[in-house]
Order: sequence, then structure tokens, then C-alpha cells
Amino acid sequence: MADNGAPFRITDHDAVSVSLSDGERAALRELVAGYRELLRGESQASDPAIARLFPPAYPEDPLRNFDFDRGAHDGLMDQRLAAIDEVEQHTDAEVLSPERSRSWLGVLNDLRLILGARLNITEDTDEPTFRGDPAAAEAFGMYRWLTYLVGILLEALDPTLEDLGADGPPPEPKTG
Amino acid sequence: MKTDVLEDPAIDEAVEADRPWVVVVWNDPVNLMTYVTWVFQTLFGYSREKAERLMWDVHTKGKAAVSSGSRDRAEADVARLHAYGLWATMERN
Repeated sequence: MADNGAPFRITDHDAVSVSLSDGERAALRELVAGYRELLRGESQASDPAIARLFPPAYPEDPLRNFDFDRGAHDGLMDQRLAAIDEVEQHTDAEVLSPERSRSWLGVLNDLRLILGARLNITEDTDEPTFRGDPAAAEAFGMYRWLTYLVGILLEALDPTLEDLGADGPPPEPKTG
Repeated sequence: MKTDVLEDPAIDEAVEADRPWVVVVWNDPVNLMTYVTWVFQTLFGYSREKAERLMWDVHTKGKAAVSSGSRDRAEADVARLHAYGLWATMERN
């Protein structure tokens, strides 16, 4: 049963086949709808996810950053909303074109960033972190599921990525 | 003697006298190593080797200089990296 359970697999012509249950697709729809609401919503200032999705280019120069945001923010917002549309309209898809699979990858990764910011995820976060907080524990479960999906989709897009990291970083080149 | 900049191959390679702005990607606990590598290859057209080396610098040193150029060029790269969800800033070197 080699790949039978994999949620994403590369097919001919670089398309990606999607194998998700109805429940998983419903969960994805809900997450994506929440993402759209976040971008369109009015609670942005109080949500750490927004700061993570739109980080400063000049963290130590508010004036320059204001200019950067003025030029870049709307375009970034439009790109994100377009990717959300793309995923939302095709959550039932059995096959994704190469371009569409990249929209999925971007949205799935953005969802991880959103949950990661809200849960204040660090390198040390694991399941016991959220013991006693069922809502956070559930969100962390979603986060881990999204991590799995992103990993598998990346491997479908580039199978050589599967081996990355197994041996740790390469030795430092000598610089004199 | 402090030779921090020269000791960092990623920054060393990115710095050129007439290209004062450097785009820096910072480590974050969410983005996967595979994702960061894939973005560097996809976005900048870097070889797998170069993309992987930059990813390891981000992961183990906390940051890496991934591109450099004029202010406009650097701002464009930062915006593209933000679109991919990477934590990117820019600084004059």
C-alpha cells in the first residue's frame, strides 16, 4: 500500500491528486473561511496572526515601513484573497493543476502561520503545552494536521525534499 | 579581531559594494525547513544546493542574507517573501 493513504500525490503532467476525506475537506473549508474573515475583519489589530502575515520590512524604521506598507500591503492582501478564492472554489477537487497546487500550498502554509501565531508556537511546543485548554489543544491538532499536509504537498511537488534535513546541516566551508 | 561578516558565507556572497541593501530571512518556529528551501528555489531560482545552504543558515544561525540590490529591488524581494509567509526584513549593509 505504497502511497494509497497520501493526501497529495504527483500525477502525470505535474498535476497533484488530492485524497482527503469529506470531513477533512469540511475542516479545510472552515479554516479557509476563517482566514478570509481574518483578512476582511475588523479585529485585525488585536490578532497576532495579522502581524505574522504582514511583517515589517524595516522593523526599526517606522517611517520607511509606513511607506513600504503603503506600496506593498494592498497587493499582498489581494494575492492572499485570490489564493483563498482559488482554494475555496476547489476544496472538492480530486486533481490540482500545478498552479493551483501552489495556491493550496500557500494557503495551507498561511493557515499554519495564523494558528502558530495565535498559539504562540515555539520550537518546544508539543501536545502537553495545551493540557487543560481544550480549545487551544484542538487548534494545535489542526496545526499539526496542516503541518502534515504541507509536508506531503511539498514532497509531491519536489520528491527530493523528502531527504532534506536527515543528515543535519552540511559542514561549514572554510573561509581562510 | 572581529570578522563576523566575512565568516558568514551567505552574507559574504550577498554583499557587493554597489548593492547596499540586503534582504534578510529570519528563523521562525513555524515554517518547515523543506518549505523554506522550496521557496528559495522557486522564488529566486536558486540551485538546490544554494537554497539548502541558506535554509540551514536561517535554521542554525537565526538568519541569512538571501538577496541584495537597490532599495527598490530589495523591497520587491521582501514583499515576495512575505507573500510566501517567510519572515523577511531588509537592511543597509
